[in-house]
Amino acid sequence: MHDETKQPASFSAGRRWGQSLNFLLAALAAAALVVLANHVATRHYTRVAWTENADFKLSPLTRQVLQSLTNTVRVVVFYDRAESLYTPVTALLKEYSLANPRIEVEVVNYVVEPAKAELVKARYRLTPQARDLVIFDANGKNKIVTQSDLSQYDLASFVVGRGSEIRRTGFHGERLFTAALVTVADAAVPQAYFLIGHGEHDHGNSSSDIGYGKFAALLQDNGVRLAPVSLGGANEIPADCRLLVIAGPQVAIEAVEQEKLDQYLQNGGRLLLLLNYSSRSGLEPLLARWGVEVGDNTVVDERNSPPASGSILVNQFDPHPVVGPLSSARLPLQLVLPRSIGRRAGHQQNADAAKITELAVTSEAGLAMRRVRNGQQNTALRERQGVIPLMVAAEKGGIAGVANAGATRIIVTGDSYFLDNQMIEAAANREFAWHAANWLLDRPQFLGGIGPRPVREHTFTITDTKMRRLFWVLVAGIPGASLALGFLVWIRRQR
Amino acid sequence: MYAFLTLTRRELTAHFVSLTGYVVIAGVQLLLGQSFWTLLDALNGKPFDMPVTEKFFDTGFFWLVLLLVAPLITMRSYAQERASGTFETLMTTPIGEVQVVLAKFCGALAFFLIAWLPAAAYPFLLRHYAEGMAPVDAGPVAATLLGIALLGGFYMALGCFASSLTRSQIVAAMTTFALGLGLFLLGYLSQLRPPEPGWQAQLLTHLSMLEHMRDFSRGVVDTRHVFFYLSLTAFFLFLTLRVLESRRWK
Repeated sequence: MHDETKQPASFSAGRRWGQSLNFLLAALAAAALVVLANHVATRHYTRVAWTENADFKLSPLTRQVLQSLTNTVRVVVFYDRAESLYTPVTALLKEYSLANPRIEVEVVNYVVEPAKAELVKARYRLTPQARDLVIFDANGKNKIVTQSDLSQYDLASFVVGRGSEIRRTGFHGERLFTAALVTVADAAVPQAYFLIGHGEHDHGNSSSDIGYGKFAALLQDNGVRLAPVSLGGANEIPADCRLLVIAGPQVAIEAVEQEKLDQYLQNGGRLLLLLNYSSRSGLEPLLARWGVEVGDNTVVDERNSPPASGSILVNQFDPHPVVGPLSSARLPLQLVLPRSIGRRAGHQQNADAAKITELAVTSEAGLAMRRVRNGQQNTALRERQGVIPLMVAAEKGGIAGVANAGATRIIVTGDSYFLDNQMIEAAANREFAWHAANWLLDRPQFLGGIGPRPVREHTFTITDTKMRRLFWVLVAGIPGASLALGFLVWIRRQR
Repeated sequence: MYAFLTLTRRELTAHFVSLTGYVVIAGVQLLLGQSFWTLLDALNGKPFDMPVTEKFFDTGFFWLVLLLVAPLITMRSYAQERASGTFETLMTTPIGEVQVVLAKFCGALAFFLIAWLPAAAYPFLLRHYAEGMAPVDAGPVAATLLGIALLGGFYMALGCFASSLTRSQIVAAMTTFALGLGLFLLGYLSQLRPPEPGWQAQLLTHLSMLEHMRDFSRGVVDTRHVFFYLSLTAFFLFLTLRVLESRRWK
């Protein structure tokens, strides 16, 4: 047999060393070329989906936000890999970082990396129990998205007893992540004021059932700065007010204060007015000028009232950015003895007038009861029956989608208790508060413009018999066919 | 071109004239079939969050088969020629070294693809046997096959290079397995213990074959992944060529 090792070398040792060096240099040059070529390829690439169900595509709004980012945003995925949302969260954030390399994603698995987890907890002042959340950090600001915020559940089926479990139907990752990016990357912080002095809900109170502490926290989480404002005396609505909240006033707002409010609205102010069945705001004339009619009544809806709850579930919404996401997700609102708030009869929907949208209405079984004082007693009289509006949105002037373009926006609701500390977590009240605030602040990226991604649940069933058959096909059939063919060839060649 | 095709055919048919090639294909299909069935058995009747095929390529089974089969196919490419003494005969024929390298690579890749091809039928088999399955989306299946072909190309080039370095098939197989496993583990470890954000993290993500295959199995074709495998394949083929050229000065 030929043996290369025993043959004398054809070249001198020096020559061979030179050739070896040549080989090494060529290999290094080729390696450098590969590295450079890959570097260029990572900067100029395309991702093509060969499927209709591509869930990696970001919405145009998210792409717009990502392209506008100029600072590095650090994203900490503080997650257990075993959690069901870990994969969609990391896959989505991967698309974000691919779209803009300034998004730096760090995954901290608190189960296997306890030391690193403690550092994250200390850095972001998380509670010891904190887990499964995504932290966006930039410009000294951070925003935390928790796992519970990320999922959309089909509550309606469960509430009416059609299902025995609450199913996750949607993934809100893109909307929340994009909103978080805007919050941490945007240097400007919108300022909101809570009107005080008329028995309103206390936005600093998180312990009382009727306090508005949770609602205030929601706004702060949304990147909004809060402060109280009184319009008494020479006080004016501050010039930096991007949103004024009047939450359930119990005593009448004086005429001089109303003038300031009117002036604020005429100049493109944004107002969230939450009335309730006992509110005495005295704002009815002002609202009437904007085309809003406030009923002096209490609305019930027997068809949608949970037993002995004193509240009604509202699931009929008009198309509007504030309630559109609730409607598409079949999420109801839970209101407590609301009063009717609707479009004023005879209000013209022309270019000069405010555009009024009745956001939510009762079912056809709605009933408005007027309270009438009869001597020493209050008597409830039937005022009207049928579909009754419960909240409206008014918009006038401005350019759609352009912030600070002079558009006046007002939301008036017939209940204020549905956003208090006790009720804000009920049904989709929190989602409503989120959307209402962001519509008033003209932040479309926080709204339903980015819909939830449907959670595709894959399942299949194979009977035991078919499973056995499949086993034989996979484990014996296909490999066996290959072996049989091999034997045939072998036998043929033996002949 | 004719010489190249003849050589390629020779390389490919060499696998099929003996029982060895069929045994390799049967072995690959046995491992793939067993692991696919195990996965189906575990998921049967339960809701899960991604298609079965996507889940399959995310499991260790797929990578185990891939890492094992590549050395088996390529170990004989040059090592056997050297050991049996046909190497000099081959290299002294009036055929360019480039053609020899490409023909051996194409022959190995063609055999690799043939060994994997039956796996393309798995989604359709599942659809046939299972109830409540949505129609098979051909896009991800095609993208997955592209991913397997690219990965296969890279591993075949790596195996050819390792085989060109030695006359021992065992050493060639071990070298291929070690290099392939090392590259795979680089990406795997970066997932297990993700590094701090920065260029290291970006580099490891770029090298992560798990990430690449995850995209392919979802039906996403990313030009960076394609370029990564093509460039590495070309790199190892170039190294193989240089090793063959080195025989002149030995």
